[in-house]
Amino acid sequence: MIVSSLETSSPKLESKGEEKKKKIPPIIVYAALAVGLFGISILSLKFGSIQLSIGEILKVLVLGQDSLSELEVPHSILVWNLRMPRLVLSMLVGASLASAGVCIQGLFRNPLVEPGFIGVSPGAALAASTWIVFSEKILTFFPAELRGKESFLLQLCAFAGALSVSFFLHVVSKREGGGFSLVLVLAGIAVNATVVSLLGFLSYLADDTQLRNLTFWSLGSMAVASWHKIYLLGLVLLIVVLFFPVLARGLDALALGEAEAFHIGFKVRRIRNLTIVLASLLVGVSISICGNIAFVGLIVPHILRMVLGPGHRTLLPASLFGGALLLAIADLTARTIAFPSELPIGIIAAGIGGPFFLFLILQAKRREGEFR
Amino acid sequence: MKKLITLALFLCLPASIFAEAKDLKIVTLNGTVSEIVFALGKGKLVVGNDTSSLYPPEALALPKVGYQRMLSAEGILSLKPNLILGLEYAGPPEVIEQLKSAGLKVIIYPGLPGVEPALNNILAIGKEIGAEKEAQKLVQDIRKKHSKIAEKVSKLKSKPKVLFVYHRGTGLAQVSGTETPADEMIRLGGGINAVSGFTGFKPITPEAVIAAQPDIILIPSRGLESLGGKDGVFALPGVKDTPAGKKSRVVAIDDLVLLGFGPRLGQGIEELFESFHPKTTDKK
Repeated sequence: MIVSSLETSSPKLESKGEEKKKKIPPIIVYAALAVGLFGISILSLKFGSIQLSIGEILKVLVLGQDSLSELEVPHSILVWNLRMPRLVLSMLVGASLASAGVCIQGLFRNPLVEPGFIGVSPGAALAASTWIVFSEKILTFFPAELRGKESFLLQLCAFAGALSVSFFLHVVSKREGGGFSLVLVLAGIAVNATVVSLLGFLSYLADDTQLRNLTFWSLGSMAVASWHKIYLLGLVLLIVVLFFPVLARGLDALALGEAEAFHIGFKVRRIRNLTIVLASLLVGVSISICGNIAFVGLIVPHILRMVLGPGHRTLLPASLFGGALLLAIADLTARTIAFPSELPIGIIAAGIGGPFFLFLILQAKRREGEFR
Repeated sequence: MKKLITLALFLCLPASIFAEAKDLKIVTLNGTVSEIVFALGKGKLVVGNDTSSLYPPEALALPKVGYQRMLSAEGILSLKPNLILGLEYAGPPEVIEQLKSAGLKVIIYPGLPGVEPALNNILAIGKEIGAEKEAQKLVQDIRKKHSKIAEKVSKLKSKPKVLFVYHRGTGLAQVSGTETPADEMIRLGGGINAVSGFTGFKPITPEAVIAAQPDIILIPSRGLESLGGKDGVFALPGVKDTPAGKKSRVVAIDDLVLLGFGPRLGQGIEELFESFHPKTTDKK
């Protein structure tokens, strides 16, 4: 098994770089992430159609619109209506996906799985798409505000989709004795293939407008940012963060192995179920808001594991901030690189993530000594 | 007193906060809308448009704000427009909302295919950009062409079955069912859509093509190019075994003339009628 040596709990993984790994104290990592987040916030508010100076940004942020001069009102609109919602939403989505990545990696005890390519995110996107196509065709007796793209039931469906896939994969991998198995990865590939075909079938049934919504999901975009969506995802993320201490203890125990965790007094099944529900909630809600963005849940935890070590007590919160930072950078890139047009953020995430993933696999192989 | 001052200030505010209200600076978000603005002689006011704005050449040369369904608010704002015109396809809806909230005048016209909606859009846009006379003249011209052809169509004894094929670059060619601009144009030009079992577009299948038995294959010019000319059309599954394939009848018309429902609508109807009924046009 190539990847077995990379397990979060694997002694091999730490033996090689243990001194290096534990060198950086968590406080420094947090500080660096905080500086990064502050920096990207300034840049995101600064760049765009009109470049604003730091002074102008601060003025708009501090003063109310009434006390601004006529020339400064546009700045306030740029900051509050266009740039701030995108910035905050991309941070929330990044934080959600990276945290979900840590949860799923801990659950399957495999640092190379990611909600995107074991089928959890596609499952959410499929459920959301199904909702979009069928809620307007079949649920005609529903009030209009409960149908279609603007309904909160969309998020609920996406959550259910993510949950079903996670649960299915969990059952599959449990048969294999938990932890990493080739079966899990293969099951993930099978789920993905099934989802792609079902999405194809849906696009056949959808009308033109619905079809646009479906294509939008496959690419992801922060152009849809609005304060309403920010509150929704923010609330979900807050709920999950409240569970972080429980999750961290539980995932650390799981890393020892199911039997060991059970013997030192953990309710293994409860931990697993909680992890599945929370990770699916994060993935489902973020995907239903801004589309399918892959790889964030893989890159961020991986880099942070290298500098912090595999302990979930530091890894979870650090991934939360790291994900926020990565996606904020990706969104700024997406909206400035092809100006005045805009690139879908999913393309940028996959463009960085794909090669990175390949690099991880090759590294794992090399550690196995198969590259001699 | 304070209220008065506020009111006075409010009245002094320019119409849009991103540009002076003196001159119109227009961004058009759709190929047909762009064409209308240029046809009404106001092309100089356009500062940018979307990637579907291909005609006239002057419109093609302007800065592009992206594809009409994947717009970016900041990109449009950077051109400092004070009027934004689009059809209902413009989106995502959130971006349109953001533009409105930035104090811009955004007008979205219905995009339904049909002569009347198309003429109404021309009149409405003319009114908006101060070219009412030009718009009325253009509408009259289109009406004249349309009614002339409509009269000829009403006298027809037989109408050809027309299969509309849509093809862009790679991937499957698609055929048009009902409720599409192509379906409407076939009817206006005195033909019958050979496919009527579904609405919108569906990928082409040999059985469906053979079952439809079209007398004519209708295709937009750019689609013909991407298939590599007429031979490419006959190489499509099933096409060779239809009456159209045997008589090698392919009609290719410029995309925006054929499907745009814009200023060249009259010309499109005429061209279609002539190519559907070459004999009748010879006689008259």
